[in-house]
Amino acid sequence: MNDDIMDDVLNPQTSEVTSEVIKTNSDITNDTKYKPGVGVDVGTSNIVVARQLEDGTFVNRFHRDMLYPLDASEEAIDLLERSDYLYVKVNDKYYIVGEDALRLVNAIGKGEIVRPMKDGIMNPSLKESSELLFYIIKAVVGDPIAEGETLRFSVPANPIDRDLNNLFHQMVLQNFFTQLGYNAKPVNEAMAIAYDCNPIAKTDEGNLPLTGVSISFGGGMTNIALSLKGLDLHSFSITKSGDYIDEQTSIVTGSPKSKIIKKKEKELDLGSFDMSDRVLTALSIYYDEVINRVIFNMSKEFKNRDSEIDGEIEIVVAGGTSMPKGFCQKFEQNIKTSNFPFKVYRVRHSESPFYSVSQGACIRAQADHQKQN
Amino acid sequence: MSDYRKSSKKNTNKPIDNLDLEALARLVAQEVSKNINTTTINPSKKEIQEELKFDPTSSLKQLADNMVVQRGNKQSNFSDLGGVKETKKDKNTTDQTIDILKDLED
Repeated sequence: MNDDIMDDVLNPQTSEVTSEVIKTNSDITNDTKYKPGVGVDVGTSNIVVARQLEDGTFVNRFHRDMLYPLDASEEAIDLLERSDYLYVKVNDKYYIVGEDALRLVNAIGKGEIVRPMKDGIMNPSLKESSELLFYIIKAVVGDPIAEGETLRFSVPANPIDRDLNNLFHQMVLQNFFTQLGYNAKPVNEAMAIAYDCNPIAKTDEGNLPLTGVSISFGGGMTNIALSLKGLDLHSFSITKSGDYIDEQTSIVTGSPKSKIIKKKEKELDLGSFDMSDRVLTALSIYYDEVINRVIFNMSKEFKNRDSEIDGEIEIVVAGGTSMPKGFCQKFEQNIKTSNFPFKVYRVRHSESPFYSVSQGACIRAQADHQKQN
Repeated sequence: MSDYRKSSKKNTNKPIDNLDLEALARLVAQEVSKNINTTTINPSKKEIQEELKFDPTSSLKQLADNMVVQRGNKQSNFSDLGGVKETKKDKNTTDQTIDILKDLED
């Protein structure tokens, strides 16, 4: 590693990537009064943990679910000693965790970030994925505030476009949280968004709460649920989502994925972008494809099931992949020109799209707590 | 099928130490989970009906238990992780949702 690169690595302020940390954990004091019940969004790209204060405020702790592997060489040890990067060492490898992983790969310019999760479940191609994930989850979630505190963790529905059953993934996570001392149960990822955003259906009998379609555009998957008064009528997932957009854009433009992610998060506006910029153009095209694929499959699934809700429904949208400007407008435009089987009076973006799954899971965990007490 | 032994050397007589439990658990889970039927069954197919009698959940549970067995040497330089973001939410709306949800079964 040459000195210039080493400077970049050791002085992240001079690097192009900036951290998005809003508060440090030390700002959360032991006096903070949380309501019992914690929600965890175990996503492909991020792990987000939500707790709620007595005044209704949600406190979300988030961690980017990324790793940068380094062989345990003298050079690596030197780098780690001279920096404040957070890492886990498993066997003969160091794994730099979180935002640091992205910062490091951008600064070094070689290697690729790896993830303990892939397509919504534990990454089968990363041998140490469960150990790394357990380590990370433990550090982000922390201890229960009371013995056997209720916890809900998000799980994807089984995908309709891949032969995959998530039961095993769900059981492993349940064991993780039980070992940490929680009374843990899974919650469907898209239903968690319904609990957070409360879609309203307008019917002849009046407004129905928790009724409509909720969609979580995650990194590995898009999760969709049709709900009626809080009941999950039909839920499923589609595997091509944010990661697919990044990978395809990387292939057609020849840019590394880490650069694509940075550009997507900092510059992309789906309503207006510079057509001469190949990366932004490719991102926009693949976003359009993912949106249209979701609308096509939703229409097919709901028609096949003869799902019926009288009146007009609301669609609520959240998830990290829905963050670029113009996403919701694009989704609403495309659904208006589709054969979607329900009357839709509005497509609503979550007020906090990145935190909606964890907040919804937290709401469900609080309901569990009240029920058991 | 990928190797579940760490070493590809032949004639090793220490199978337990060398087993990569996690990889093995994954492979078995992959196979077992294929037998969990989540679709509508045609009752005229006897063999499918018989398969329904077998519930592989307990096998999956045992495999899942195995996944959190701590293996190898590990160390980290952190005890907690993550940035924090607060979002304001109307307390009444949340409470109304909780009231609906606490009456629902899983």
